[in-house]
Amino acid sequence: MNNIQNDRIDHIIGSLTRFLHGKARALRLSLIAFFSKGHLLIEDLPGLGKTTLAIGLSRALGLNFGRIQCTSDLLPSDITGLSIYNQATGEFEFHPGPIFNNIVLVDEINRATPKTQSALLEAMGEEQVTIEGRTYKLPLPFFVIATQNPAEHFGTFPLPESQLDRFIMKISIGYPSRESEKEILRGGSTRERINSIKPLMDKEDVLRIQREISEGVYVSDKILNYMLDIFEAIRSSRYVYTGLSTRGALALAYTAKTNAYIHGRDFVIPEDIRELADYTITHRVMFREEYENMDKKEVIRSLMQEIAVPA
Amino acid sequence: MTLKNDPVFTVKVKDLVKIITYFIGMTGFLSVYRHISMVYSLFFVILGIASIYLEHRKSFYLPRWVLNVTALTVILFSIYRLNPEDLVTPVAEGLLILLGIKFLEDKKFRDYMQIYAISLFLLSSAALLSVDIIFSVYLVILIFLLAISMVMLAYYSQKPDLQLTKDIALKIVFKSLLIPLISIPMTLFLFIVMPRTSNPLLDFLNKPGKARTGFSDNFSLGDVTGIQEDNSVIFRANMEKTDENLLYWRGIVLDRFDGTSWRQSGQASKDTVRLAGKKIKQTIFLEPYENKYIFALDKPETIFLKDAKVLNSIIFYLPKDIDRRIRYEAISVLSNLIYEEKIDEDRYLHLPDNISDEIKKLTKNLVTGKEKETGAKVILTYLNSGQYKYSLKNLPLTKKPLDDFLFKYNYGNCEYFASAMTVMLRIAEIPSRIVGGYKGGYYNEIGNYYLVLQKNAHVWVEAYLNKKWTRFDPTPTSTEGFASSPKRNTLFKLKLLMDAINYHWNAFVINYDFEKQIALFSKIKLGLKRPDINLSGVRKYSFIIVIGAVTAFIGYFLFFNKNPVEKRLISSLLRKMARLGYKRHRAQGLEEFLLSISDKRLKQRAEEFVQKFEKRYYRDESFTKEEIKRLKDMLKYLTKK
Repeated sequence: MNNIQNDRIDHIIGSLTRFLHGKARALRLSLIAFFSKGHLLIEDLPGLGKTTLAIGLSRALGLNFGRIQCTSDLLPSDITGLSIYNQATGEFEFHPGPIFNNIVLVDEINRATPKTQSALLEAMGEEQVTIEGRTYKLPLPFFVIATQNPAEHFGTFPLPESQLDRFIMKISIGYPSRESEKEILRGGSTRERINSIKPLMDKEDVLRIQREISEGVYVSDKILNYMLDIFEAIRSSRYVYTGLSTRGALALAYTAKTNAYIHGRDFVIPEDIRELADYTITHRVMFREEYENMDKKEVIRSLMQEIAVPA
Repeated sequence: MTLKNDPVFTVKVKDLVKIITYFIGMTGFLSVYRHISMVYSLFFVILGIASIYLEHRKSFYLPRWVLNVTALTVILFSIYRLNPEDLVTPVAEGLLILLGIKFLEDKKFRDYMQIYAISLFLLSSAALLSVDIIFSVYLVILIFLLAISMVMLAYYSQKPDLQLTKDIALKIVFKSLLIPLISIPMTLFLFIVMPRTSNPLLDFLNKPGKARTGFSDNFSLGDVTGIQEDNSVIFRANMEKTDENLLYWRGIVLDRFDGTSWRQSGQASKDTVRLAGKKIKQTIFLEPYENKYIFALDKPETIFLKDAKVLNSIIFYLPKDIDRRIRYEAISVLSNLIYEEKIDEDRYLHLPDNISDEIKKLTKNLVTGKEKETGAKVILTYLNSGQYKYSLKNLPLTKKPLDDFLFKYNYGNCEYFASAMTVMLRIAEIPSRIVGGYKGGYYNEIGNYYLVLQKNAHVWVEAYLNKKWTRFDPTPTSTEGFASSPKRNTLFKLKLLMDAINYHWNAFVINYDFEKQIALFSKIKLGLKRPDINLSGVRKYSFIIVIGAVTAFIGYFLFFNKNPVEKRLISSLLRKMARLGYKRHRAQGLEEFLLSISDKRLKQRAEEFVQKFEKRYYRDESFTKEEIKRLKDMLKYLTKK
């Protein structure tokens, strides 16, 4: 009956959960962002396991991993790489930067200067970098996990709202539960053990699954109408200054498809959209100045509560 | 196996129902066939034979939609043929064809019921077409057949293949005959008594035309109190909201006083008077009351009502008493003046002989040495400045009511004030008269009309000064009688709402009498008929095509565009869940909704259903018949232990 072979994803979630105590939700959402061919923004305090999550993902998926620690003196070429003159050959040789990896963790993206940020975001959007007139394709699959520290403001360059739109989802990991934290304390850091995970998939599998999701999961007309209802409600809300862009709308559709796939369905149901609304919609919506202080999540949730599902 | 060898005669309940149903249809047909045209009878017989033949072959039935569209066409055709002279025959003919069509169908429970209903209608139309003793024969036959058939049908609906032995079948038949036998005495009572009572038996249900007191050509002092204690509606006036101080509704004018009562003496036609001022239009719905005067805002210039006549005192009336609710439009001039060049002064100065010297003395004291206009004002002030109180109770109903009012009781209702003023004006040689009508009213914002009650009844005075009649109202204004803005509590608002509904009902339904409807109907028909009188073939065909398209369109909506099966399945599930206390928010997805269910077994079953349902629904695929059946079974099974 079921022509969805999602058991490997289940397997990944199952085995990684053992190492990432209390991060099951974040892990699942990251996988959804990954298989939706998007990029993920994690807004969280340092030390809650963002890096562990990223490394765990790359290991389990059998992909290589790069890390960029952003500072205000980080230059675009520190990310993309640069050409260096090789005296032996007498030619300029291109040395790829950390962005030439499948999974790239960009830590504290808001500490980078806007110039560097935009170079990074451009690479994310186009999956290629152009250096000194030559265009280099980035390896596929390509997945950026950017983190942002909400508590520090001094010397940071917050991402403009328009750039937030480039991330398919924005999540936060949050503090682990008492139980999970106890478990972590007992076992110590799991970083070492994570490095020893055997890959559960390879590149080909990942690309195949991505293709299956985008081509094989059916989005009904009813669901499309439901989504359009949501966009309309948000765009016409009195709290909202700018609503979802069409890129945002597409993101909603992609993630819903992936969510359906992970649940073993080859068709989207309204829950796929409702479950992810917190992470896909909220960061794309700009509120009117007078409502800036309202809890965006709550407002979006209450708007969603007004929209009837197709069945 | 034993059944086959059994010598006992058996019959299928299905066949039994069918046979009785044919007899019922036949009875319906026989009851009307003498009154309808041969063509229809023939058509019906053909349809009947065809259906018996199809029934016999058992394999082939005409598709339901074909029959439904045909039936609809027949209905439209019979509506088209309706005419005021003979409403029943086309209906009976139409019903007969419908009956024939019904027989053709692959009959289900409701089809049988429809056949019974149509047969009964046919029988009733036969009763309308002729008064004949044979009718009661058909009636009795039909009642017995229906009783048997209904009982059989009950068995049939439970188990269509049920076999009955002869004995059991007969037993059922006799038992079911008891039903009409018991109910017939009651029926006979209704049948014999009802049409023969001269008063409608169920009249108490809607109390129409309740006899109402109202203004008459003459009234004695104290009479209006009777009206003012009546809380019923006298009329509703649809108009824009107006200054409440101007809300005098003019009804009658009285000019002859005999010491205790006022009456009207003969008056001339209206042409001698002239009105000037702002005009205002009203549509008035007047309830029946016991007189012929029709009311409108003071001063009515024109009233658009057939047969309405007007006098020079600007009162309008009908030739006979108003015995049913009437509607009319009136145009009034909002002014307290009537210009009239020349009047019959003697009439408006007439005083009865028994006017006491005390009144005369009082008047003289008030007006001596003053202009007439000032004199009138002094009298007005004397009466309404506070020394006389307004009251509806213990009125001076004596032989000399005016003296008693002025010098002894010092209180009275509007009649006493107005009479006193008129008499005093006349003593002061100012021609004057009494005007009767209503004052005030509650403005109903919902229906945009003034609701005027009997208790708003009022009389006031008109005095002739400088060639014009001027309105004076000597009754103190701070009276409860005409409180035009009572406490607007919820109950009152509700009453106003109810009255607004009542008003609209009157305005659109009751007032639209049957004759008018028939007239309108004929007009529409005339409009419909016109095209095929002198049209060329092409246009005639296009007309037919249009009619056909409309019929098909209506048919499609009636028979095909039902709630899609998906919606029905889901609402069935949600209904069942709601009964168990699980109510879904409309923004909740189905699976999300099921998470809230605590009963594990129920949850599991519901999840199975939902997953099966979603698999088709959210893939935009349609359900196969088996799937629908399976889903329905799952729903049935949902709550089973």
